[in-house]
Amino acid sequence: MAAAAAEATTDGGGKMIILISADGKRFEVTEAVASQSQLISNMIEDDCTENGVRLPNVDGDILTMVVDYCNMHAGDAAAAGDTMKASSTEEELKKFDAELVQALENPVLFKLILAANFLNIKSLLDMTCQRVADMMSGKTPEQMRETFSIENDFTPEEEAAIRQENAWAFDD
Amino acid sequence: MEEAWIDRLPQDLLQRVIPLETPRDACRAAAVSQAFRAVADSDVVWGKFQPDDSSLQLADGELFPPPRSKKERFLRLSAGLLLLPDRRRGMWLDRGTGARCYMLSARALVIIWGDTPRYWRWIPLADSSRFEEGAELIDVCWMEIRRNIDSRILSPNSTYAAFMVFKIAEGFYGLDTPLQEGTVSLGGRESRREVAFTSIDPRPPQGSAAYPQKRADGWMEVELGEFFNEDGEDGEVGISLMSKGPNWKRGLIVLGIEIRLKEHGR
Repeated sequence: MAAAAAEATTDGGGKMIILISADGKRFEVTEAVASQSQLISNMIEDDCTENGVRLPNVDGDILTMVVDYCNMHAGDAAAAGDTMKASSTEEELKKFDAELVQALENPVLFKLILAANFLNIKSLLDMTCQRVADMMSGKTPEQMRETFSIENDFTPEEEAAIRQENAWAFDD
Repeated sequence: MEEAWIDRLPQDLLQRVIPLETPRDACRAAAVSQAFRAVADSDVVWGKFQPDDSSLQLADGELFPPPRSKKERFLRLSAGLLLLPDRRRGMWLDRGTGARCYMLSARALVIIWGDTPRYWRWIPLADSSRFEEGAELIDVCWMEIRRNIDSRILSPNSTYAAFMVFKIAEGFYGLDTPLQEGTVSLGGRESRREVAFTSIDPRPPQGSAAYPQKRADGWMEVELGEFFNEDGEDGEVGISLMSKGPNWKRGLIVLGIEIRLKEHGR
């Protein structure tokens, strides 16, 4: 992963784009890598990536993960150019994805979802949303609150009524 | 308490997460907090757990009065059998998962010799079932009951089992001597097993034969076989019951074949 600024030249044939995080970290990536973001892909088409792409609501830590993810998945998008690395095998990708989402702590996972949503990277958004769904699956409301640090803002009467209304989902 | 990060997840993202779960999980999520409830009870979420009106045609009056929300619609579609327009088939949704399940009445099955009154007769069932008629075996050597269904009407990534739903008439004979054979196939894979109608399950079970079980609706059922419906697979599910011996048989009353979820998994 390239974190330092460099002139936007070509590297093995692909045009380079610079992404700038909220805290000013710069990432140099090929167009093919960056285009996995529908947002950036649209900007490339509109020719407005010349001075780097500022991403005011994505932190450097999160953008590092996003760039890693996009580098790893660049082989998915057809025209990866002749970069030195052959595109990853499907198995490597699955392993990479599984390790990425498994390792995420709640607030980081949350920020990554927001980044994937903002940058419009569908596969990353699907994967991170699935992770949250898996974390909720099979849990009682108490366990869900605990997992995600959510405060119970129902009155006891409201909560009893909701449980009554959904009684079938609680008997197991 | 640490930051309640998920509370800050915009509603449209929570709306993406909850449909990835099961209807059971969505109902539990409604009891987490006000913000969760707003999403977990919404039409957007519950619409994803069920077929819409254009892809689900029911007999007149089956869903009357019209449900006031998608969640109510789901709960009614999963409350029990609803008849399809021909009134010979019915469907419902598995409540825990939303998987589509079906029942094909005897009139929707292929019953060899079924229209020859010396072998089979049609009997009214209005007081014991939602279907009007069942088929009662009078006397045959060759018993064969089958039906193919399109696997696309079922839910993907799910293991289904097919059951013969039946009763036994007074004066039955020959049904379990020898045991009959149930077969279920999809896309080149086949499950085949011996099925019993009048014997009691020997414990411990001997071999792989299936034995009858009592149902909550008063009928009996026996599993004919199971199959895994993969993601997006299109093909025909073949279900059949065939006699294995040349002996005469009598006394099976067929309500129909039920195809229901056995196991749900991604």
